[in-house]
Formats: sequence, C-alpha cells, structure tokens
Amino acid sequence: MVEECKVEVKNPILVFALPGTGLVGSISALHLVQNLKMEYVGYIETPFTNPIFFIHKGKVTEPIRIFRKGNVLVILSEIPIPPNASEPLLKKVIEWCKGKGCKLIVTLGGIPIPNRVDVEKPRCFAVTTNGGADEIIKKLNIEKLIEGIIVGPYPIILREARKVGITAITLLGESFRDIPDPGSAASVLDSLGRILNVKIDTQDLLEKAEEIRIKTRDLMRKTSQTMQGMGKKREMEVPLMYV
Amino acid sequence: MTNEHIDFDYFEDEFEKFFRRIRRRFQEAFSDLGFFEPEEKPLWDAETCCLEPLVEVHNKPEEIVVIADLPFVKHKGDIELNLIGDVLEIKAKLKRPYRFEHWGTVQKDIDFQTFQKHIKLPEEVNPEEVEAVFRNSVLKVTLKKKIKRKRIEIK
Repeated sequence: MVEECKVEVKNPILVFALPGTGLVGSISALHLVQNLKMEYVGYIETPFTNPIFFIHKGKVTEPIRIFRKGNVLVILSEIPIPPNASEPLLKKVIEWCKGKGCKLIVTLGGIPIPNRVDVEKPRCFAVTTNGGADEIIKKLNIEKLIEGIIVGPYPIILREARKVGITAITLLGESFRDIPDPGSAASVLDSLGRILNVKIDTQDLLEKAEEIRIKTRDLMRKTSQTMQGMGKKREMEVPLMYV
Repeated sequence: MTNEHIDFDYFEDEFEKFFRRIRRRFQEAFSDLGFFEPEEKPLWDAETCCLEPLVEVHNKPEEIVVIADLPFVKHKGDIELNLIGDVLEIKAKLKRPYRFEHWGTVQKDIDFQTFQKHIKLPEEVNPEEVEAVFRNSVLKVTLKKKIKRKRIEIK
C-alpha cells in the first residue's frame, strides 16, 4: 500500500471495488469518486498482476488507486484481480485497514440474474458477517441476502475482516453477468449512500449509461475471462445448507 | 512432374488453413477447461469502423438465449438479425457515428458506425422458433432447440 499523501483519518470507512459481475462495483466506485470529487491519495503495488500503467489525460496512473474524502476511503481497481492474487492482496488491504483504525468496510459488486433484461429497477442486497452489519442494514432498510453463494475476492474480504473484528458489508446489485450494468450500479449507490450518510446523485450515471457501456467493453471482457477461472457460475446455485 | 508444375504457394496456403482450423477446433473444445487462453482480438475494427458487441449466451434445457449489448442503437429497425446454420449474425447501426476521443493512437480518429458479431450457437436450433426483443439498447434473442423428444414408458 503506497500512500502518496499520508492517510490519517478518524474512524475511516473503506469502500472497496474490484471489476466483477456486470462491472457493478467498478462503475459504482468510479461514480462515487467522481461525484464526491474525492482526492487521490495512493495506490496498491502488487507483484501478482502483470506490470501495467494507465495513461489518463497525459498522466500515467496506477491501476489500483486509493481515494479519500472526509472519513471515506475508496479503493478502486481498473484491473480484474486473478484468483491466485486475491488472497495475499486482500489480506494486505485488511492489515492496512486495521492499522488505520477502520471499523467498517463496504464492498461493491453485482449478482447475476437471468432475467435482467426484463427488470426495470434492479434490487440491491447486502451480505453481512456480524450483528453490527445486520443492525446497519436493518436500520437503513437494505435487504439482506438470506440464501445464496458468493464467489470471488469478496468472500476473502468478509472472512479476513471478521477475523480482525472489522464490520464488513458486501452490497450486490442484481445485474447482467458479462455486460456492464450502470443501472445496477445506481441501485448499489443508493444503498451505499444510506450507509455513508452521503447524498450520491445517480441521475447523471443513468443518463450516461450508454456511454459507460460502450467504453467499458474491454474491461468487461477481460473481467469475464478472469471470472471464468473463479467458478462465478456457482452464484446461481442452491447451497447444500439450504436443505 | 517438375517443380514448375507444382504450385507450392497453393499447398502452403492450404496447409496453413488446415492447421488454423485444427487449432480453432481444439480451442473451442478445450477452452472451457482452461487449457487455452481465449483469443484476444480487439473489440473494434478500424477498417470496417465496426465494434463487436458484448454478449451473454445462456444455454437452457429447451432454448438458447443470447443477450447482446448495443449501446447507442436506438430502433429495432436498425438491427439485422440472421440465422446462418448454427451461427447467429447480429448487425446493428449506431444512431450516430461514435468516436472514442483521446483514446489510443489510431482509435481516436475512427468514427465507429456499426456493431457486428457472429455467435456460434452451442446446439442446433429450430429456425422457425426464434423470438427477439429489443429494450433499453439490449437485444434478447430466444432460440428454441431442435429436440427430438420420445416419451419413455416407466415399467
């Protein structure tokens, strides 16, 4: 974790987003950073992904960046994290959060539904790991996912956060699997705004939905390929303990 | 027969075609098992000013559902859908030429005008039982499978 400006925040809340199902997490987090005009404070350096730089407005930028505004920190990745890299990378993130005195982590993502094309307003569900998280979502009227399977990097965050006593919530918007889904991202941001007690305007996100969909095709394809190696299709299955 | 009568170029071309075909078959057969990296061709073509749409293919017991993302395509009349054997062809015209300004070197000067993709269907379908709907610039095509069903009596 490389801090280009010293990150000293009282009671920080971390919002964490990796490219995944429908790019819901990435689209939501990027919109949050832009909408709240968050400040870039650092990046994550990892030996587990191929060396890559992004060039934006003539400047080279790191693919996994950290932003801050008030007590909200956002970690946003422009690259999908390969399955073998997730564990060490995310353990490091949790260690960093613990060091910063973080009490709450919210991860953002999508959950694929087969009939997404027919759904006008996708719902957002929360996955929680402790009573503290349950209280938060209950108070804010966010629906809890009662039965299901989540696959990929977020279970690592939830597990590691629980080990060190950090409350963690995963927000999942109903979405397409392999098509970027700004509509689902808007639904996730609506719930996130309530958790952070921040007004996030999603109207412009919905207005530029087609623009986002056409510009994120490459990242979506790369993410879909990475997800194939994670067994993401299991998210449509019924778990044994449901019996 | 002398060398003058043998068209080496012809044989070389044929061998190349043959090996490409074999390689593609192997990739198709084993890609699901993760033995091959999927082919990494760009999702755009500078020569034809054409974009490749993202698609989801859902293989259900009775039907195949293809979902294609066609941002900036406005009307169903701007979409041409063809079933050619076991290949679904999607062609769609964008409502206006789209330019990725500031992106890359060559790409930033191209006015993309259409989406085009050929999708190899996982199973044989009945060409008479195909339905398509277009909503919010997303195309959903439902193709009924050709199923020969025979009821089996349980003794």
